[in-house]
Amino acid sequence: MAETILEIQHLKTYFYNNGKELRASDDLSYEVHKGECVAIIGESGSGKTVEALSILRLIPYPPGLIMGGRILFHGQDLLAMSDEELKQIRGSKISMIFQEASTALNPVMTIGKQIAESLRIHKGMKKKEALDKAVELLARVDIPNPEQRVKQYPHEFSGGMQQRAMIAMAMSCSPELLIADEPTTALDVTVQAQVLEQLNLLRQESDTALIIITHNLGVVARYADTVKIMYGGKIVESGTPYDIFERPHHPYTIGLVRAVPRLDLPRSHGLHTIPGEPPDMSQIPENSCAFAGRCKYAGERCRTARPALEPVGEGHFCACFHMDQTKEEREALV
Amino acid sequence: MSKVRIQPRSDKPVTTADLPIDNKMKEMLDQRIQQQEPVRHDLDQPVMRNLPLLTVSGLKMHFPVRKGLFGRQVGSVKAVDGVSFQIKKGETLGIVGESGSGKSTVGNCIMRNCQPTAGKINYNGREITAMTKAELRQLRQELQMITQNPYASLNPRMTVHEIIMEGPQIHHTAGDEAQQLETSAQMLELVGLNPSFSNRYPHEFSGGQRQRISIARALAMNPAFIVCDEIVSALDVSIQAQIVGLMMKLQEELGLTYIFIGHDLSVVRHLSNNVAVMYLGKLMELTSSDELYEHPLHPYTQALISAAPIPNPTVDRARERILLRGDLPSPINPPKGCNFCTRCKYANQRCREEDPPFIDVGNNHFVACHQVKGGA
Amino acid sequence: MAKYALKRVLLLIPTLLLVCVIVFVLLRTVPGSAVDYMIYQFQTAGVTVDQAQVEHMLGMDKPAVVQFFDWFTGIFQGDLGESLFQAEGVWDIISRQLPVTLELGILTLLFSNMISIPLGIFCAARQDSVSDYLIRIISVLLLSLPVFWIATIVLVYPAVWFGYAPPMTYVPFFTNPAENMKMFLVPALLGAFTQAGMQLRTIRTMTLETMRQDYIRTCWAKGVGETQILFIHALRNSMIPIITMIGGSVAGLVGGSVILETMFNMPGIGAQVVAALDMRDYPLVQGCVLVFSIFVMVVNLIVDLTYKWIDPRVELE
Repeated sequence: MAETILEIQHLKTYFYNNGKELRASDDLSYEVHKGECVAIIGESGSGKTVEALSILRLIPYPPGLIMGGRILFHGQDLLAMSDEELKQIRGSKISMIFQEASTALNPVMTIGKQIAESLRIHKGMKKKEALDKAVELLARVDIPNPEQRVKQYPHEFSGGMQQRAMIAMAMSCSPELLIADEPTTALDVTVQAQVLEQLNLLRQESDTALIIITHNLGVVARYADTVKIMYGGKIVESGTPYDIFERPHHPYTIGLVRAVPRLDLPRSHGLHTIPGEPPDMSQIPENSCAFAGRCKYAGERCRTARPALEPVGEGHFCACFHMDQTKEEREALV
Repeated sequence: MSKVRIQPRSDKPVTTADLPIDNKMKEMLDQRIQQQEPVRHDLDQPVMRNLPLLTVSGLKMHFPVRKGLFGRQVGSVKAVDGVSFQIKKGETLGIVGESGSGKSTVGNCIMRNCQPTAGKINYNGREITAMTKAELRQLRQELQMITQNPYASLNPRMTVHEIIMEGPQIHHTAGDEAQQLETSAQMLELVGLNPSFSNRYPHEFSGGQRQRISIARALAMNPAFIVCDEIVSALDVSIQAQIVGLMMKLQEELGLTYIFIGHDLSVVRHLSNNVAVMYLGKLMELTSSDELYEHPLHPYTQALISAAPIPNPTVDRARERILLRGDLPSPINPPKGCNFCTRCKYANQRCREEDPPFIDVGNNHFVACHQVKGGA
Repeated sequence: MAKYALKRVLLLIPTLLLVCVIVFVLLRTVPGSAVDYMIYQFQTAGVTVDQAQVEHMLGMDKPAVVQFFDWFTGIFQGDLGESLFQAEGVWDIISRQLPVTLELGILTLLFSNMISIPLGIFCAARQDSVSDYLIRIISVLLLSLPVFWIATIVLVYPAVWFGYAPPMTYVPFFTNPAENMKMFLVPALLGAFTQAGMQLRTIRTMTLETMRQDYIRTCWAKGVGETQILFIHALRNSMIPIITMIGGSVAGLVGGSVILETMFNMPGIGAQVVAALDMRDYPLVQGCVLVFSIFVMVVNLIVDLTYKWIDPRVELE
């Protein structure tokens, strides 16, 4: 296994609203290795975005607060760093792309200037040099006429081009780790495919590790090395895409995989549904499985104790008291 | 084609067990489903079944682009530019396309939310484009539309009961107060919500529940035909599956006919008997759902299928990816010839000059592509 | 952009025509006229005159329509008429006194922005800190204290304690900037303080709103420093409402300067207009209102053009 570059240990990010405590990231631990593509999958309110924002300490305070844990980047704790030290890492060693490029780009600054800004801060480039490099970067993400495009504003770009410009910006300083929060959610399917392919290509070229956060299972099946399923602020299952999609152990993972319509199977292949709604995170009792309320296997123990991640295979972990009982369902999967 | 699947389309029949409601509710609902049985009678008559309920021919919707002090028309957005299809009773037609393809405009034309520039829309023998206001009022009891955004489409100041009963009240089919309460409770049960929710306000519900309320509102009009415009796009995966299941269950029980508009080919195909692929205001391909995946003929359909991710690494990684270059051209100024020619790897001189006709290449498989015709 | 500006300038013409008519008609329909005032003046001086004489003297014996056209055609020849009570052309009076008011106004604007923009942004950046609260309390105080009261204090106490009073004679800026500033600095700062209170609060709110936007989060993620985020990314994005507010206050500056001009004995146009209105000095009032309207309209045009410059998404139509 390649060198570990990021190690998240017992991360706790809580939100406080109207006196209620919401554990958006509840004792989360995982590792990212050099060049690895880690996919974090969860539905809205699973805490997946909070977890990603916590890495670069971008959680807005108030209401959010990182209550505990360590985030080690090459052994250095990002959470213990001074603002100045962290600034050196943001955008240069670890960079991030966001869900909707249309709102994540400054509307009153040219694309070129926004890309050049990173280069000027982290590489100490002069204005002219940085803008030339921005043209080069735009060309690398397949934006036609980069010399003209660099002088344009975000609203003059299509959605796909905006996201590609975001990628160019994030990759400008050749980071070791790129965090992509729902990078293609707002895009059309064909554009989504373009952008993902682009992202993957750049990542492989520069051996950048990628954390991709998404609710779209299909997106990760192709690119991810490791998949983590989040539910209620916790990782409930983790493994290779083959483990997760073909041998899932957690009832939630199984439900999720079966809830997605499959284009490659005949229509008679039915859709499975998970009953109920994702829980309000502030309502989940501390000592219980977050999925217990929707789980058909849930028993007394699930409501009084919290299952820990246990190995179920090589690099495959699952947090469930009843994973033995899911065997039948698991084997029914195609 | 034209096999009507009365049998549920899943390997596991949809039952009330799938619905997040308590046991007492399930009993009530099961009883109701049994009582509903007679509603299916017209589906069982093969003659009726094969008649198209809706026929759209040559539909065009051009929106004028105005500019300057006096609003001079300088061009038009060809949102829909010559679309024809038929839907049989009890079936679902899926319309799939990316943003800017004009798929929602087709739905709006059928609902007569906008007056088409050209073309005919025949519903059950009546011409929708020529209807008067009074006739439209009548029509809108039979035709209902459910839209994408369950946050914006429900009036936040009305209770669920008021929202559901608003339509019937306007059309004076609501009955007295007791009947109204009963109807709204029935509708809520039907869509898998607790009838006691009827006095609550929309903000108290999650996205999936709001979409259920929208569906209940449409059903309260006792429609025969529902246009579903991106109704699951904004929902989480697990909730999306619930709503898809609900729509299929309702179709089985009530013999509804759907147009299901969406951008996610996997979801649209799952629900639909036939799928129409739209690109820049035109239909590119139209055929049965299974045929579309197995034998896509149009290069755009092929790209669309290849771009749609499959949640299985073994299958997905083995597939070849067709990546489209560039962006969708502007519908104000669509390319000459075939609309797709700017992004098509097979495009030749003919494609750039001549608009390909939308023709049946056999087995009820319609496609608009010069290359396919040449090969066939 | 140039085309748009030209279109707007052309649209000024009908607007100004309307302004001319309205001012002319309104002035003359107000009870009491210049003639009455003149007769009263003569009476107090012990001279008896009859109405017709005075009317003839003031040129008011002609029909109103003729008077209007005389005045109106004069405008195009650069002649705004003669003041009824001062033996001087209206244009001469305006051109002598308007610069004083403009200078006071521009200085006020400059100072108020120099105070409110950095402080507003500072408050937003340190939201809910002690200094934020302090600055906000002071801004409310400044907002609520009447300007004449502060002005009185500023005038009286230095005079009592140090025997100092600001200069009483106006020296044009280009003749002697130092002397000129001695006169203008204190009233301009006073005006600026009262303006800054309001502006500061708006800028703080706008900056807070902008700082919540996604693109600001992108900046943080890029490693951009706080100062740069605040002054480069956030400021420009929150500028549109701020510019609108400044544009609005410019219009108020011309009229609002009366109190300061009077108290600091500055020969500005503000005080002049009030006096002219009292005396029903029709040509002078008309001339002043016309010049003010042009001024306000030009400022509005500049504000609109600034929108486009600040935000490339703005469509000028």
